Amino acid sequence: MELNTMLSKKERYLTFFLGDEQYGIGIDRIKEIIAMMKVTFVPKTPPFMRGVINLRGSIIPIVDTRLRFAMEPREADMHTTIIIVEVEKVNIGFIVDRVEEVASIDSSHLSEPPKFGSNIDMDFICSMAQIGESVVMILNVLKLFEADELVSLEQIQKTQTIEGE
Amino acid sequence: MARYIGCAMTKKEQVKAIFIEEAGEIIEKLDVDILRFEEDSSDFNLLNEIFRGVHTLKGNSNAFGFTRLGEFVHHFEDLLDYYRTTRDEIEEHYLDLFVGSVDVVKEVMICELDEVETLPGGYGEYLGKIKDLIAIKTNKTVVTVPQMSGVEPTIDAISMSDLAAEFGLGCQEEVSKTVTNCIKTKQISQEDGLNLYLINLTLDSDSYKRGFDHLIFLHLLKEKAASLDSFFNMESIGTLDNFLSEENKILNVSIVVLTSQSLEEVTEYFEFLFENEYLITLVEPSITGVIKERDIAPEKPNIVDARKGSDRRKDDRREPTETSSSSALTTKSTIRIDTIKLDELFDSVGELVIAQNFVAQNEKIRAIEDESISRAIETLSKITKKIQDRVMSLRMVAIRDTFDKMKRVVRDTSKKTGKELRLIVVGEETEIDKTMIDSLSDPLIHIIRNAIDHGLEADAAERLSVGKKTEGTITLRAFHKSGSIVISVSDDGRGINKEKVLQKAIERGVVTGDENLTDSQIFALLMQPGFSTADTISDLSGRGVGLDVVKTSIEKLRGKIEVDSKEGEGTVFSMVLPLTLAIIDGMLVRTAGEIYIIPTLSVVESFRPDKEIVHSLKGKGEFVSMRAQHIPVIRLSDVFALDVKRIEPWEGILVCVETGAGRVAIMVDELLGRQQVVIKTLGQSLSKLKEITGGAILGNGDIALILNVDELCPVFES
Repeated sequence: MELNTMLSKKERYLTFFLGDEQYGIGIDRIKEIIAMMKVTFVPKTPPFMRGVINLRGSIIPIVDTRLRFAMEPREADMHTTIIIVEVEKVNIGFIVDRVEEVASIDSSHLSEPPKFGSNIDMDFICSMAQIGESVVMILNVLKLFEADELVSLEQIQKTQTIEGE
Repeated sequence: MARYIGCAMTKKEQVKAIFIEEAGEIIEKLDVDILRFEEDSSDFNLLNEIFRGVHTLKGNSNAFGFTRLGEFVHHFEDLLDYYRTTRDEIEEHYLDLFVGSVDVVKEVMICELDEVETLPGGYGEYLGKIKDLIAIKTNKTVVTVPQMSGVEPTIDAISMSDLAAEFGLGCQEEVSKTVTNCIKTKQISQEDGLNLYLINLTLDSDSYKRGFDHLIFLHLLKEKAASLDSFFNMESIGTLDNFLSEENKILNVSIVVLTSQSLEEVTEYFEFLFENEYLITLVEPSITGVIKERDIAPEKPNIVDARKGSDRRKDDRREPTETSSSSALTTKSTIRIDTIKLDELFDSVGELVIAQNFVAQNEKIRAIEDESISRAIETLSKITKKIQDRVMSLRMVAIRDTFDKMKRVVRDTSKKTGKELRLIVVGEETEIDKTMIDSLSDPLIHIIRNAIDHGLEADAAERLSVGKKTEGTITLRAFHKSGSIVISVSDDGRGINKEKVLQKAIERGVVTGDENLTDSQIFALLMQPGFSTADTISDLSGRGVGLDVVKTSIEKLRGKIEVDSKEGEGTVFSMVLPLTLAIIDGMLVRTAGEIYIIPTLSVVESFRPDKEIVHSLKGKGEFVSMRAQHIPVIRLSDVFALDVKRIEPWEGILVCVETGAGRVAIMVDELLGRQQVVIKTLGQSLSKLKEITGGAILGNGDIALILNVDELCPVFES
C-alpha cells in the first residue's frame, strides 16, 4: 500500500531550456522567476559567476548556467530569465535561456540518469523524466550549490539530514 | 520512529536555547543590579528586582536539570527572601557575599552549559557562607514559626491540621491577613466614641499555672465591647497523645475589639501579665484608608517579642511593596523582536524608498500637471522618509547597558589593584547601533583596565605627592561628534611618557628614531602588536597583547581609536565609531566602467598627479612622490584582473587612502561624489572576496561594490 502511494507521488518541477536541452528544478526550491536585469560584475570570481543583482533591495549573486555547464555563452534576449533558487536561506539566481512550464511529473516516470552521453557534469542530474516526446533532466540544486561553494558544506549536510529523515 | 525522537530532541533543544538566552539575560541584569545595590543597599525595590531574577533562575534551572545551579540559587534566594521580608539592613561586610554569589552563579551557569563536572572554586565557599548567614539570621530573629516538626504525620496530626484549616488559621500569614481584613471591616462600622484595638496575646507556656488563660481576657473585654473577634494560632498544638493539659500551647491570639473603653481601661485587664506577653495597639479610624498603628504598651519596645515585631512589619509593609513592583512593570514596556525580522523590515523599507523615488521621479507622472497628484506624491515621500527614520532608530539602543557592565569592571579592577577610584559616567543615553554594542564590550573592558592599571598612579602616596586627590577618577563618556559616535575613557593619572614609548619603539625596531613623529603618531605606537610599556606584567594588563587587539576590533566596526595624553594629567582613549554599522559614508568612484565605493573614513586626499611626480620602478610598480613620501599606486584593474585599456596615472585620479600597511593611492577613472550608503552583504558565496566588504544600492537601483582598502595591495608582477 505504502509502496503504491510512493510510486504514484507527483512532484512539480519548473522546466527550462539551455540550448535544446530541457532541465527541471523542484518547485519547492524556487523563490521566484524574474526577467533578465542589469548584473553588476564582481571581480575575482569564476567566469560563470556573472555578478550580483539588486532584487528589490537585496543583493543576490547570479550564476550563468550556460557557463556553469561549460556551454557556449549566448547573448541575452527577450526570453532570457533569472530563476531565483533558495537553499538554506541563501538565494542564488540562475540565468537560463527560456523558462518552459511547471510540470507535474509522476515519480514513476523518473529514471536514473545515464552514466555518460551529455556535455554536462552528470553529478548535478539526479534523475531523468519523460514528458511526452521530450526528456527533462532534473537538477540536484544542493549538489550544484555545494560544488560552487555557494553554501557551506555544513549547511548542506544539515539540509540533507533533515530531508533524509 | 527515529524521526519523532529527532523532532522531540530539537524541540527540547529549542526550549533549552530559550532558557539559556533568558538565563543569560537574567544573570547579566543581576550583575548590574547587584552593583547598584552595593552602592545603595537600602533600595528595597532593587532588592525585590534581584530576588525576582534569582527566583526565575531557580525555577528554570531546576526545570532543565541544572541541579547545581538550582541548588545554589535556591539558597541565594532564601537569603534574599529573608532580607526582603524582614527589611533588615544588610551589614556592609555581607554585601561582598552578595556580589560574590552573583559571580558564582555566572560561573556555575557556564559549567552547566559546558557540562563540566568540576564546580567553580567559589561554589562551595559561597554556598557555605550563604547557609551560615541564613542560619545566623533566622536564629537571631526566630522568623520560622516552630512547625509540628518531629511529630510523625499520624492520623491525629492530619485531622488536627485540618481542624486548624477549618478555623482559617492554617498558618501565621493567614492569621495576620484575616486580622487585617477584620480590622478593615470594623473600621467601616466604627462609630464615634468607640475605639478599635488590636490586642496580641502571646502567653508563656506556664501561664495556666500562673492562673491566666486566654478566655479570661475575652470575657473581660466582652463586657464593654460592641464587637469582638479573636483569632487563635494553634500551629504548635500537638496531637492528643502529646497533649499536656497544664501547658499553654497556643502560640498567639489576636483579638480585634471595638469598645467604648479607653486605652488605660483596656490595659488594666492585662496588668498582671508579663510585659512581653501582650501588645495592645489602638487602631485609628480610617480616614485616608491607610492603617496607622501606634504602639502603646509596653513602654519599652525593645522587649517586644521579636516574632511579633516582624509580623507587624510584614503587615504594614505589604501594601507599598506590591504597588511599587507593579509600577516598575508599567514603566518598562518593551517587545523583544528577532533581529532577523528587524533586518527584513529594514530591507523592505529600503525597497519602499526606492519604489517611492521611482514614482516621484517618473517622467510620465511628472508630466501630469495635476496639483492633487503632486501633493499626494509629496505626502508619500514625507511618510516614506518618516518610516525610514523610525525603522533606522529601531536598531539604535542606549549605551547604558554597556556602561553598566563597565561599572562592574571598574569595581573589580579597583579591588584587584587596590586603587581607590571614582567612576564618572557621562552620556549613558547616547544611542548606538545594536549590532555594534556587542562588539564594543571587550575593547572597552580592555581600555578601562589599562586606564586603571597603567593610567592611574601606583598608589595614593604617588598621587598625593603630585598634588592630586588620593582617589583616582575614571570618566566614561559617550557623545556625538560630527556624524560619529565617540566613546572615551579618560583617567586623571600620570599620562603617557612619550620618551619611554619612543624608546621602546626604537628597541623593538618599530621606528628608527630618525622620524619626526607627532604626538598622536607616538601614541599610536602603543597600539602596535606586541607593544607594552608596563614595567611589570600584571594579571590585568601589560602582556603586550592588548591595544593592538582593541585597535583591530574597533577597525572592524569601521571606527578608529585616538589617544591623547598629557604627562602628569592623564590620558584619554577615544573610540570614534560610525553612527550605525549599516550605513557608511562613501566616496563613489568609477573605474573600468563600474562604480566602486571607497569608505570616506580612510580617504586622506584625492588628486590628479602631475606627470613629474609619478615614477615607475621595474618590477616594483608605480608610485607617486609627494611631500617627501613615496606612495604606491594601485590600479584596480590590476588587482581585479580587469581587461581594460591602461591609462596613465596623470590621466586618471589618485585617491590616497590610509590602510593598515600604510598609505596607498588607488587609481580611478573619475570621482562621482560622496554619499551615505547602506551596506549589504554580497551573500555567503561572495563573502570570501577579501577586497570587497559588501555592496550598496545606489539611488538608481544599481549596485556598487564597497572596497576594503586594507586588502588592496600593489600588484608588482605586472
